Amino acid sequence: MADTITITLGERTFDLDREKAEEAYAAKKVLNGRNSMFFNILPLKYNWAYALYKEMKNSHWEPAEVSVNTDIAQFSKLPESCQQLYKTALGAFARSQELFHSHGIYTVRDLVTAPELKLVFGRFVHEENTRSDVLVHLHGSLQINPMECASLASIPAFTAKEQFVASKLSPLDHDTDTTTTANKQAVARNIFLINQCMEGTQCFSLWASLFSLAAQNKLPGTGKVFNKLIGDITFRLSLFDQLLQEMVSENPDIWTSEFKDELTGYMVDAVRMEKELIAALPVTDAGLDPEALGIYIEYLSDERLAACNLPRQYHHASSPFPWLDVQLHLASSHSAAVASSTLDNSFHDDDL
Amino acid sequence: MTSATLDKYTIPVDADKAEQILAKKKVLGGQPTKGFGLAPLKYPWAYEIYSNMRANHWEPEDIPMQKDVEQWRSDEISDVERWIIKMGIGYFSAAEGIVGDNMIHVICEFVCAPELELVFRRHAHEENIHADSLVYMVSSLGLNPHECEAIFEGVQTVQEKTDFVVANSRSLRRDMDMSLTENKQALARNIFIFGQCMEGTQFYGLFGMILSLYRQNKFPGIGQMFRYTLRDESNHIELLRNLLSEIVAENPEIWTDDFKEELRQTMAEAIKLEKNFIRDCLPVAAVGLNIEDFHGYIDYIADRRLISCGLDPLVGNTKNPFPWLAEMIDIKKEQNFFEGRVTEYQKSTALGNIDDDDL
Repeated sequence: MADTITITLGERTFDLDREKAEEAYAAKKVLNGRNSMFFNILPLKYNWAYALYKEMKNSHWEPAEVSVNTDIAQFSKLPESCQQLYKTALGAFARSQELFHSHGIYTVRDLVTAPELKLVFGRFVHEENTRSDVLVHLHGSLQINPMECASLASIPAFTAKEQFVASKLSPLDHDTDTTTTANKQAVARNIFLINQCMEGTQCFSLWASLFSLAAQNKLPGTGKVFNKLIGDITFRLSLFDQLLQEMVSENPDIWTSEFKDELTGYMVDAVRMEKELIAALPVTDAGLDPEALGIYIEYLSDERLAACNLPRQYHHASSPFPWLDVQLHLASSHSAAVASSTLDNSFHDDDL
Repeated sequence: MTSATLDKYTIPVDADKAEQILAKKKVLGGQPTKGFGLAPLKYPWAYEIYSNMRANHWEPEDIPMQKDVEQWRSDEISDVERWIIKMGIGYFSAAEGIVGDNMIHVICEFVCAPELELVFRRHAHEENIHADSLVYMVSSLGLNPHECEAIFEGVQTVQEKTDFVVANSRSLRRDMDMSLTENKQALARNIFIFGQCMEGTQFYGLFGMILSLYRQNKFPGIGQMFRYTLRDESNHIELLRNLLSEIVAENPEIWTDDFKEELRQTMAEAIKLEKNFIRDCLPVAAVGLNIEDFHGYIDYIADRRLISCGLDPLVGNTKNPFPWLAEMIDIKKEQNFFEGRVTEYQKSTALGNIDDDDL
């Protein structure tokens, strides 16, 4: 019998042919690895990716199962400005594909090569559908016209966000040569822009307003729905933080000080845009102080930067709204990978 | 103001804007809708199938594998039977990935209506679940995954099946001017190949083998997962059939006699590859079947696929040599069979206790 190596996945152990395992392991890379048609998750190289996939799966939820009966009863009795804020939030959320550039995520999936990365990226198709299911559930249950919401969300602060991400993203496609430093940086840039700067900070003043209402027992069902949605985003933040770190460790040439400054600059732009949105919204009607909310966005963006090993820019000692941290899964976001590393780690480079 | 219906929901919409949204929606060459464009639906079948797929959600870990593990280690299972399982895992671990990739990077790229994107994203998601189910089978049985893969190395009849679909999918990952008839036909061919030839016909050789074992109470967990997979595949085949039919309805110029004959010949090629594969790799006698019947079965389902797409059958007047298998794969039967239980995906371990009498 050939020389074998035993590896453990969760509670199970199994044997791999050592020579083939070494070959397969060596060929796994984020970019420019072996583009195997076979779904060779094993041997796992990116343990965190498979663990994250399992966590995402275990958090499977269906929007229609979240009861919004209280919301239905309350909605028409809320002050007009709160109703408008709510509709604006739905209108903005319906623009997720454009605002958060879903398309860019698919392009990155096409470019990464390790099967466990393709698997975890594959969850995104489902999460995009969850967004649609949320809109159907909320519009249908509360009888809110989506077109009215779209008009309310047609304000310059949102258009500016869309234009920002569109203007900064690098053109990438299936055929992009990912062996050059410039193109590897382009992948890293798009990941950071789409996920950390856009999905990870933009419109959070709207989500915060919904959570603030829910904390006052107003529209609590919607609060639950958005809590779960942010849970999905948090998994993606974790995915992209770690993907970026893997890319940097496999391609140290990309991580120049100019490049780090460039990425950090995007986050500063993102914070500025979100503050412009706060100025355009009646957040006080949801019980939030605009200035404190601005500080919260700064605090949040520092967390995003730190997760990517980029320097914090605002240095707030603590969160202005600790109750919001809970709703936004902020406390748990970066520990997700740590918690899941109970998966076997015995298959280190040293073993090979 | 008027309203749009989506499944059990009624959503208020502006009549004039609703008209604009509908006008923008097309399978090919439509205009993307900004924001929430699902309502009103232009392709209600897509949303209906989506709701159905979502209700069928399953997770591999819901299905117990203890019995399979016991059998795998025992003397009651022959090496030939183990080979069939390894073959199934090896083949589908490549095939599910190939289909999922094609849905994300080809079909979703070109279709232009939110309900179509929605349902094809779901299709891709289900391929992910299937791939994960194979990881679960491999890890439960303690298989060497490289052994499953090695079975395929250098097997020409497998390579030819793979090349048949991959070459087509790769050739479409580019910007294509969808106002040109030839490009519309290229995408229509891709939809036909993936839905009718691959998922609809070429998957069935191995499905048949594994379900034959299941019928003999061998590997009940694996059999159950393949049954769930088949139920999903039935939706995928129907989905892609509907998509093809909409493309033809919106672009009647593509549906020439030459093109129809080309699709028939594409299916003939798929059948040839599948029969070669069965002859070369599948020990059909070991599960009590014979090769003539098995080939006849492939002819039978291929003819059904062709007829469902408005194409002439290749053989004609075929009879199903495996009525028991038809019951397991027939989409209507499957839906009725699972009705009322499928939404309880969290409790779907209950679905593990299905006995042959139900089939």
